[in-house]
Amino acid sequence: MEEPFSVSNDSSVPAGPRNLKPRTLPSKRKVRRAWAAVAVVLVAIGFLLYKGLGNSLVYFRTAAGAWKDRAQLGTSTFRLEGVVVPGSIHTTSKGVDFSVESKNVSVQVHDTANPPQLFQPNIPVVLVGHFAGSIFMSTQIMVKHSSSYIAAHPNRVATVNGKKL
Amino acid sequence: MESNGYRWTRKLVGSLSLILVAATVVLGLWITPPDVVQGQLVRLIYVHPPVAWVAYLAYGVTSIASVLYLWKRTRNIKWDLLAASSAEVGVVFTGLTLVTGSIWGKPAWGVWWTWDARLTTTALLFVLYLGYLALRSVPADSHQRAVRSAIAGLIAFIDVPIVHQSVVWWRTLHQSATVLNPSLSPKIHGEMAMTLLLGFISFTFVYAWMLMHRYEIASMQQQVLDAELEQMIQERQREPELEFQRVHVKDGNDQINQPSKV
Amino acid sequence: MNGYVEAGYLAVLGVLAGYSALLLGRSRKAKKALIPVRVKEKKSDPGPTE
Repeated sequence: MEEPFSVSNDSSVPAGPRNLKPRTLPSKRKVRRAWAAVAVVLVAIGFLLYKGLGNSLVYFRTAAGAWKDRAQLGTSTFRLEGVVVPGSIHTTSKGVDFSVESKNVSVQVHDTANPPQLFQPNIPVVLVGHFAGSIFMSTQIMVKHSSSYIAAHPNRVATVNGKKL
Repeated sequence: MESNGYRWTRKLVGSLSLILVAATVVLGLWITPPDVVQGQLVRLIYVHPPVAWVAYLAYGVTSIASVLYLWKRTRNIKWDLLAASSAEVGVVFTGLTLVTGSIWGKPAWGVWWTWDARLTTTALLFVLYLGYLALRSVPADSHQRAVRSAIAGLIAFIDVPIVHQSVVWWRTLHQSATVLNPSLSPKIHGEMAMTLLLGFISFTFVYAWMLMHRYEIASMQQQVLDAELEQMIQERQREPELEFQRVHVKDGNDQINQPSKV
Repeated sequence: MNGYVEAGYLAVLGVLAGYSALLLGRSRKAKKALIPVRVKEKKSDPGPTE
């Protein structure tokens, strides 16, 4: 069978169970390093679960919900969501003052950060901040845009109502 | 070894991917109109959801292949190699999902990152499959590694439906699905919808090409490993006579390893 | 157009091209490593293997 070993053939192979143990075992260092990589990943998974459970389960409170619970919330920091009320936006030297609304409950907002470029009337926003009396003091505005997409130049679409190109 | 048909298919899929991706880029960047709210930013929709979809698909393939390995009737090391190959490509696409999402998030939301459920579970998905690949790199015999990683791959897959449904189950900053939403009514139309569809198709082709290529590499590496193991077994079985043979045959082993001499 | 859009497309195309190049390189390396095995297979097995 094995040509380079011209002397040997099948009969030279001793009978008995095959010894499958490789002669060169992977070095202990390699094994340790591989398990270390697995451990690092497990730590990262733990961190993400911690962050997720801490933030994601109740990512924001709606303006209506927060307004109802504002006594309990006190001055603690949380995320507040609502739709920007048209006509309520007033640019200030530091940021913007406006109102957000959800379920017909309107909350006045005093923001001290630059609003993102998509900030506009009627867009849902998530604000980071806290209540100071009846005003929500926002330090960050995030725009929660919708998943609908509409061409800005509908005349470029051949058929109306977007049925065909 | 893979047949010529396999190679031919791989090359065809590769060429098609190039053409399709080029078409997606041209349509996405220049032909499609801007969006009423997002303006030019909408163009990111032609790449971001498609790469995310490919990540789901890749992990789906990993899971099916893992089940086929774990099931004794279909057990074959090829399934393990396919699972590993698909997971690696999946990690590349999950990374791209996070990067493109972040690039879109900054101008559209105002932040590169936020700990909402969609983003957190996607980051978790990335890390879970990195863990899968790390586990595979732990030295072990083929069967042990295959079983171990098949179980890990199936556990990690639990996160895929969670990622997809996260925008429905929890309050998130991330918007809900445009196409695969609970009511299954696409919220995009006309040439924008067509380009999005093209994006899905082209990145799926890219995935197919990458998977075929990665699997071929894994398969070749496995053959080398098998041959090495076989050689080691033979050497061990021959141990009593080995010294005697070396007297007669000079460097028999070297001849095996250096084909140029043969 | 808008720096973010270009950056997004560049990231996708760049990473995919980079990973493809990596695959091609690994494929070449794996093929090279396989040559001695094939030679040996041919020698030890006179019949067609696959």
